[in-house]
Amino acid sequence: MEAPSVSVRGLDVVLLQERRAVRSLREYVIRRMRGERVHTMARVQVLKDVSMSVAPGSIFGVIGANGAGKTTLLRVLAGIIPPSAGDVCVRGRVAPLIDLGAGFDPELTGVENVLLFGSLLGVSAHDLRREMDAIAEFAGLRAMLDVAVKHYSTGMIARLGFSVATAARPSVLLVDEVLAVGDEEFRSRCAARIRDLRLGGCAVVLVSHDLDLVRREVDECVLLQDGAVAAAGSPSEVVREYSRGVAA
Amino acid sequence: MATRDEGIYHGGLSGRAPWRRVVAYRGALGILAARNLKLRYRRSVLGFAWTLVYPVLATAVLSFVFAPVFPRTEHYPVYVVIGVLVWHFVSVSSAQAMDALIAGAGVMRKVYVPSAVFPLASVAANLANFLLCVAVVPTALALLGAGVTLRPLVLVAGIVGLVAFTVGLSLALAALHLFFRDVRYFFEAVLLLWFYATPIVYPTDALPEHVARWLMLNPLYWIVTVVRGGVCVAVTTSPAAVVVCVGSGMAALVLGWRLYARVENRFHLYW
Repeated sequence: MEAPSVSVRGLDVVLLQERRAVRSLREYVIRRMRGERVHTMARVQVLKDVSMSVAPGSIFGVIGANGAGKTTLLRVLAGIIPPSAGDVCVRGRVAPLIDLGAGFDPELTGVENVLLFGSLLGVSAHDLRREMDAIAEFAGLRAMLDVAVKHYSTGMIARLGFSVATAARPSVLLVDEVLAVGDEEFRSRCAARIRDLRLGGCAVVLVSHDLDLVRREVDECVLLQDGAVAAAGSPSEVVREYSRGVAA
Repeated sequence: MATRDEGIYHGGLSGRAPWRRVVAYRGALGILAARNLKLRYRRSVLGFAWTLVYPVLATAVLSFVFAPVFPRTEHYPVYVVIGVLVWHFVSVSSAQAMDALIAGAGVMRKVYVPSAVFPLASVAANLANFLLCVAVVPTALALLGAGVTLRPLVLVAGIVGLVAFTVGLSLALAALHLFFRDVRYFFEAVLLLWFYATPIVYPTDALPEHVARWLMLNPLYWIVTVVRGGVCVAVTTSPAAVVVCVGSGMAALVLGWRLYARVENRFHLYW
């Protein structure tokens, strides 16, 4: 069997949350002199012992309530947050679509943002310029490419982000609910593009609250609950498990 | 589309030295630096020429006020303009580097990018401004017959020392500022004192001997002296000054970078 595109074993992520945090030297010195506690950042375990494996060319779904750790999991896979414990192995180049307009600067034009986001994904400026027409065409933004992105609608930003990320032919695509803002026509084009990428061996990790989409498109699925894997396996079972938890 | 960075890696973070990651993202660094320059002057009529307004005005005012105070200094305008440009580069770059790292968090939450790219892009944008001014303003003064020359090797050594020093300082400050947000205000106070502890507007020989001695502890004293030595007819540079200038710049670069690389893995906790 082919080596997995993404494999995660025993992943823990501990982050700090500010609680009356010391954010200034002055405060730090004063509290120290008064003998007060200085470390007012609370340690929060966002992910606990998460394991998963995504085969090349498959779609992996992640579902769960708000704050369950879904986006944090994507950030770890994208290399944004280092794991506190456990092994994370991602093969090939990752294209993260976490949040709208990934690395976009609202003041810059569409073209400039394609170059910026593309360079953050590790694509050369030369390749980006060559693909510019195709990227604009796919996003349906040919006429808007010289307009500053701050004038774009939410859907337009999502379309441009998806278009750049997928034009880069990533080995792993991370999608965090961003497609939800696109219109019906663009969503079907996204589905076609994702199918296309999968044929080329691209693995997709999809975070979604659209349970129908998960049941329909996803090959394998996990349910996260308070940072831990509460259920894993076939999408229909995991979704049923999740719905039961919500109904109860 | 051909891409680099293919192969097995662990979440983009491990496996490569921090400076190598910055080198791999030099394309992004260039685009961010260009963005800083573009956005500063977008929709302004004079555009990039605004860069020149500050040094020209500063030189005019300072020459008018101080040239009579320091009558023994030959060609005071070119002396002061180099001082002002060097000072402006150091102080503005380091302040902007602190902001850039905070502002970059928005992008760093969404895509992996070596965080040092953001402060470095600020320094790079200011360097472009600095180089333009150093090329244009002394040339203009030379046409006015103001004691301008060109000693290319000295000038290059001075700029190398200056850039290394500024990069090191900016990285260290940007990293500390992420953890303690009032580093900026402390640094503003330090800058105020530092300005007067550096021969920007006054010539060193205007100071009494026992005060001038202390200037030698200030790396910027050496850096500004060597940069001046590359441009001003009236300023001569000793080989020792060039060595101290480049040496202290490199030392600041190494120290700043090591501090940065040491704390970088905790940045995501403090965005």
